[in-house]
Amino acid sequence: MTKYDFLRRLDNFADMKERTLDVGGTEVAVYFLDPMCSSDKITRFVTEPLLSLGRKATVKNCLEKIIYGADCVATSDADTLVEEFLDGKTVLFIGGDDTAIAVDTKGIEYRAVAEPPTSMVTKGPREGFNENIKTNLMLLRKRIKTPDFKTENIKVGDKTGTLVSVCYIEGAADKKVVDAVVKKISGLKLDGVLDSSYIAAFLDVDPTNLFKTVGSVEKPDIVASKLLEGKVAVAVDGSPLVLTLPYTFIEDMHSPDDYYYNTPQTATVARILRLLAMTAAVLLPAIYVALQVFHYQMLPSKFLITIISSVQGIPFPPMLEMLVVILLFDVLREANARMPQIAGLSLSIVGAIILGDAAVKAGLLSAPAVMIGAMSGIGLYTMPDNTMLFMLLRLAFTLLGGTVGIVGILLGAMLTVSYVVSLDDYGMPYLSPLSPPTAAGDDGIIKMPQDAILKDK
Amino acid sequence: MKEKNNKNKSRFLKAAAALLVCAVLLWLAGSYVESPLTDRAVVLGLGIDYDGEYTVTAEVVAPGGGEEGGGSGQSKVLTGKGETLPLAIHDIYGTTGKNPSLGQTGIVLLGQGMKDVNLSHALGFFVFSDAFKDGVTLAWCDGDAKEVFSTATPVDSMVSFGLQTIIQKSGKKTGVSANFMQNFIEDMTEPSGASYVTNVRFIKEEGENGEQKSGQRKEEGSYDCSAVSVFKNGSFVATLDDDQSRGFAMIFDEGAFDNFAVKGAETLLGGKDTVSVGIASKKVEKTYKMENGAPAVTYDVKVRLGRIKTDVSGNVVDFLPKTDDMIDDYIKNNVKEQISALIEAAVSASVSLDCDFMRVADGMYKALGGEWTEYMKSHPDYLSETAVYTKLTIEN
Amino acid sequence: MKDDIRQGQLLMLIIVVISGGKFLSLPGIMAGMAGRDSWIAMCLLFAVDLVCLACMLWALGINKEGLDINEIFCRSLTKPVAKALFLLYAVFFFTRVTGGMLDVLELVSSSLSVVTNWVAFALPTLAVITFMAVKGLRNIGRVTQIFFIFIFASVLLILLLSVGHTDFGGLKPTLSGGFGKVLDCAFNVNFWFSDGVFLLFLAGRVKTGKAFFAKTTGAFLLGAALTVCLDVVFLALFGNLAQYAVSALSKVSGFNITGSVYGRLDWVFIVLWMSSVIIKTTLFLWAASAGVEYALGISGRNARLAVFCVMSLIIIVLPLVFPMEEVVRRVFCEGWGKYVTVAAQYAVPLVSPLLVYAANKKTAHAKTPETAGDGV
Repeated sequence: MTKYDFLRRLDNFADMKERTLDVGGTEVAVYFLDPMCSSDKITRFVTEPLLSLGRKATVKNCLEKIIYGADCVATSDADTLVEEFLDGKTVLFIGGDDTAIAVDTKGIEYRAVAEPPTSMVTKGPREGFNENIKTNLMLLRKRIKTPDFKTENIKVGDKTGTLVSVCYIEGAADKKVVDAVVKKISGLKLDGVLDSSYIAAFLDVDPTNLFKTVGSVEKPDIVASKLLEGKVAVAVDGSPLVLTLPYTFIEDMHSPDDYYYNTPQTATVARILRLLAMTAAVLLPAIYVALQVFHYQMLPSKFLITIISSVQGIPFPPMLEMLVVILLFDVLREANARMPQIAGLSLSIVGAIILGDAAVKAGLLSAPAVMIGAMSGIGLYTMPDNTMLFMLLRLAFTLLGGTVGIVGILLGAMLTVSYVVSLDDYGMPYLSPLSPPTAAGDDGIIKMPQDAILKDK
Repeated sequence: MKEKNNKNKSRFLKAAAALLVCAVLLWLAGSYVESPLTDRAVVLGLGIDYDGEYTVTAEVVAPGGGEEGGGSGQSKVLTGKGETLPLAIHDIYGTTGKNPSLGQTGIVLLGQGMKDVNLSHALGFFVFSDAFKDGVTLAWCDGDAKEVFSTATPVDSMVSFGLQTIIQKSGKKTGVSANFMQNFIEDMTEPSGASYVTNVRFIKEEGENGEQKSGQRKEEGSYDCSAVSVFKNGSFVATLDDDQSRGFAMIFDEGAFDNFAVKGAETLLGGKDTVSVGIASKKVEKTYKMENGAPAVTYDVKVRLGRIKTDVSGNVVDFLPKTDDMIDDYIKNNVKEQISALIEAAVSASVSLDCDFMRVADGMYKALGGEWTEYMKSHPDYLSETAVYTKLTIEN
Repeated sequence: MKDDIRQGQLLMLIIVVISGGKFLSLPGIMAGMAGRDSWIAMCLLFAVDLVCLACMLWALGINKEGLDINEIFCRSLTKPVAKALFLLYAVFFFTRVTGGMLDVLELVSSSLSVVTNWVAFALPTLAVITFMAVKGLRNIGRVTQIFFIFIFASVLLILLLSVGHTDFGGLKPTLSGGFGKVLDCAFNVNFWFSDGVFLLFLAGRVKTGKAFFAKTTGAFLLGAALTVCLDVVFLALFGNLAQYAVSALSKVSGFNITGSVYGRLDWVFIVLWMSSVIIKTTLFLWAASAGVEYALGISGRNARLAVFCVMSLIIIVLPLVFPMEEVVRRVFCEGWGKYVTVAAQYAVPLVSPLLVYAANKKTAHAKTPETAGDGV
C-alpha cells in the first residue's frame, strides 16, 4: 500500500496530521491522528531517532534499529494499516516502499482507577475498572499471577473495531463454556460495540430471558474471585463493566462486604435480609391489595380496624390506589436518576414527603398504601442487578393479587419459580445452589467460613 | 407483493392473538367476585335473640361511626330480623347495604329467648361455614343479647373485645374455660348430649346517687362470667350457681384453677384469721367402669396449693415462688372440704337437672364402647344410678 | 438433555405427593364412612401403598439398563398390552388431576373467600400447571425443592398448633363400629391413595445416590405419618362433625385461631400448603401426558405441548358437562371404576420388579429396541 492509497482511504480526516522528514535523503512521511496520539511520544519514539539517524532509512532498519516504540508493526495490508492508524498509532511511509510501519504512540486520556460509585464497600479493595481495557486487564493480572490465567482477544464491531477480551483460568473454567463464549463473540456481526452491555445481550443463551443471565462487575477483586471460582470474564474496551458468566440469581444477593467485612454469620443474616426484602418488595403491594379485596379476615381484628379507618373515603379501588402509589414512586425514582445531583436530592424529598403526605391528607391515597409502596420501592434495591425486572414482577403480582387474590399470588409465584429454575444457561442452573444444590461449599444464602470456601476451590 | 401480504397477515394474526389474550384476561379478572373491605360490615361479635323470630345484633367495625345506635367510637351495633339465623343476618345487608362479614367474629352471645330453640340446629349454620371460625367463643346471657351489646366496660368500649377477654381470663382464674362454638355443637352429638357455655351477667355500674352515670349513651358496668349455663340435646337446661359452676370447673377443666378463703387459719405474722390460698397446679384423672351393674366414676383430683400474695392477685400459678411451708394441715383439710363440697354440688346438680354436663356417658362410652350404648338404651336415667367417688390429694 | 430428577428432589417430591391433597375433602368423606376410626383405614391404605412402593423401588434398583417405563412395558409385555396399560394410567392420573382441582376450588371458595366459577379458576391454574409440566420432570423436581420447606413448615405448624387443643381421648372407643366398617372405608376410598405409582414413570430418570431404598421409604413414611397425624388431630377435634368438613386442613388450622384478635393467619399456611397440591397435580398431569404419548406413540416437544393443552381443555370442559365430583365418587370410589384402576394402582406396582427384570434381561440379550411409540 502506498502513501497515496493510504491518503485516499482517509479522505476528509481533518484531525489527521502529516509530517515529512528527510532521513539520509529518503523521504519519510509520518501520519498520525492528533486527538489520539501523544506528540511527546511521537517526538521521542519516532521523529527524534529518525532525524538523528544520518543515513538512508529503510523499513527494515527503522523497524529493527531506529524506532523506539515498544509496539511496532510493519504491514502492507491496507485494512490492517488503517485499523492501526485509527487505533492511535503513527504510520510511517519510508520512501516509495509499499510496506508501512505503525508505531504505538497512543495518548488517549482515561479516567483514573477509582472506587466505583455503584459498588462501594465498607472495607476491602476500592479499585474499580475504567474504560481502558488494558488498565482493566492490568487490574486483573496483578491479582492473578498464574500462567493459567488466559485471555483471548477478539475485535468486534465493523465500525468501532472494539477489542473484547475473554478471560478465564485454565483448569478452573469449563472449557465448553469458554469455547461457547468465544464462538458467540467471534460470530457477532455488529456495526459497533460501545459498551459491554452490547455483548451481554448476545451472550444470553435465550434472548427472551426475563432474568439477567450475564453478570456485570465494576470491581477487579470481584472479577478475580469469580475467575478463581471457574467463571469466564469478558472485558470490553470502552466499558468499565466486565461481564461474568455463567451468572446465577444468588450472585445478586452477594455483596463484597460479605467477604471483606462481615463474619459468616452476619453475612448469612444480611443475605437472608436481602432475599426477604426483595420478596417483600415484589409481593407486599400484591398481598396488601389481595387482603383488602378478598382476604381481610386474615388480619387481626384490631389491625383491621386501623386499616378500615385509613381506607375509608379513599376514592380509588384498592388495586388502583396501589398502582397509583407504585407509579408515583417509580416516576420519582426515574426522575431522580436523571436529575442533576443537587436538584435530585431536594426534589426527591419534595416528591416523597410532600407529595405522599399531601395525597394522604387530601384523602386521595391511604397511609398504609403509601407506606407499603415506599417499603416496596426501597426493598427493590437490595438486589440491584434485577431491580427493573422485579419492578415489573411487582406490577404483575399486584394485578394478580387485586383480581384473583392470594391464590393468584401463589400461582404467579409458582410460575415465576418454575420459569427461573428452568433457566440453565451455559449448563449452570440459574437458581443454583438453592435448586439444585451444588456438590459442596455452597456459597448461596448461607455464607460458609472463608477457609471452607477456599478449601473447596 | 406476496411477501408483504404475508407479513401483514402475520402482524394481523399477532395483534388478534394479543387482543384475544387481553380479552380472556379481562374476562378472568371480571370472573372473580370482589368483596372489598369497604363494602363489608366486619362483624366482631354477634348477639342472638329469639321471640318467634330471630333477632341478630352485630357489633361491626365502623371507625368514626360515633355511638349512635349503640356501639363505640370504632364500632356500631346493627340489628337484623328473620325467620332463620341466616335470614336475620341477611337482613342486616338489607338495612345497611353492607354485606356482613363473619370471619372476624370472636364471640356469639345467646339471649335467654334462645331457650325455645334447638341450638344444634340453629348454630349448625355457623359450624358448616368455613369462613366462620370454629374457635368462636359461645356465651349465654340471662337477658337479651341485644341489651348486652349496648353496654360497655369502663376499660373497653367494644363489647365483643371486652367480653372475650373477660370470659377467657375468668376461665383461667376460677371459672371454666370458654367453650367454642364447634365444641358445643359437637358435644351435642356425643352420648351425653350435654354441653355448657359461660354465662354472662351484666352488672350495671351505679352513680354516686345510685343512678346510672349521665352523659353516656352506653351503659357502663362489668360482666360477671364466673357461672356456666348447661344444655342438653341442643336446649338450655339451667344456669348453675357459683358453687356448682366451680365444682364443674374443678373436675371438667384442668386449666381452670380456683381460690379459697380459709377461716381460722394461721396467718404469716402469727395469730388466726381468714387467709386466701389458690390452686397452683391441678391434675384430674377420671376412671369410668361398671360396678355392680351400674356406672361408677372416680375422680382422682391432685392439687397443689399456694398462698395468694399481692403480686399474684388471685392467679396462683405453678412457676411462682413456692409457698409450701405456709400451707399447714389445717389449710389443707379446709380446702379439701371445700373442694369436696363443690364437686358434690356439681354432681348433685347434674342428677337433679337430669343433664349429664359432667359427661359421664361420654367417659363410659370411651371406656366400654358399644356395651355402654346398650346400657344407656335400657337405662335412660343412668345419672341417678351412677356412683361417684372423689379422691382428693393435696400435694404440698 | 435427559429429563431426570435428583434423589434429594425425589424424596421431597414423595413427601409432597403423599401428603398433598389428602387434607381437603378426603378426611371428611372417610369420617362419614368409618367415623373416628377412619384414621385406621388411612393407615391400612398407606400400609398397602408401602408394599407397592417397596416393589417399585426394588424395580428401580434392578433396572440396570436404565430403561424407561415405555421400554419396560413393551419389552416385558406385548406392545398392545403396554398401550392399554398406558391408557389406563393416563385415565387414572387424569381423573386424579380433575378430582384434585375440584377439591382445591372448593377450598379456595369456601375457605379463602375467593368466589369464582370453575373456568375462571381452572384456566389460570392449569396454565401454570401446564407450564411447569411441559418443562419436564427436572423442573418439577426443582420447583418442589424450592417450595418444600414452606409446605413442610406449614403442615408442621398447623399440626403443632393443633396438638395443644386436641383431646386425643376423643378418638375412643377404637373400632366401635367394627373392623368391617374400616375395611369398607379403605376399599371405597383407595382411589385417592396409591400416589406412589408415579414412581413407575420415573424409571430410568432418577439419579440415585446412597441408600436410595431406605431414604425413599423414609420419605414415604414421613409423608404418610404427617397425613395420618393431621387426620387424627382432625378427627379428635371435630369428632362426629368431621364428616361434614369440606376441607379438613382449613377446619383444623382455623380451629387454632381461637380469638378474633389473631385473624385468620392460618390462611397463610393453607396457601403455602396449596402449592403441594399444585405440584402434585403437575406431576400427575405430566404422568398422564406421558401415558397418552406412549399409548398413542407420539413424541416431540410440540406434540407434548399439544397433549397437555388438549388434556387441560378436557379438564376444564368435563366438569361443565358432567358433575365430575359425583362421577369420580360413583365410578371410581364406589363403582366399577375402582376394579379397573386396581391394576394401575396395585397390580402393576406389585409385579413391577418382574417386569423390569424381564425387560432388562431381554435388553441385555438382544440390544434391539422395541417400543410402542416413537417417543422413547
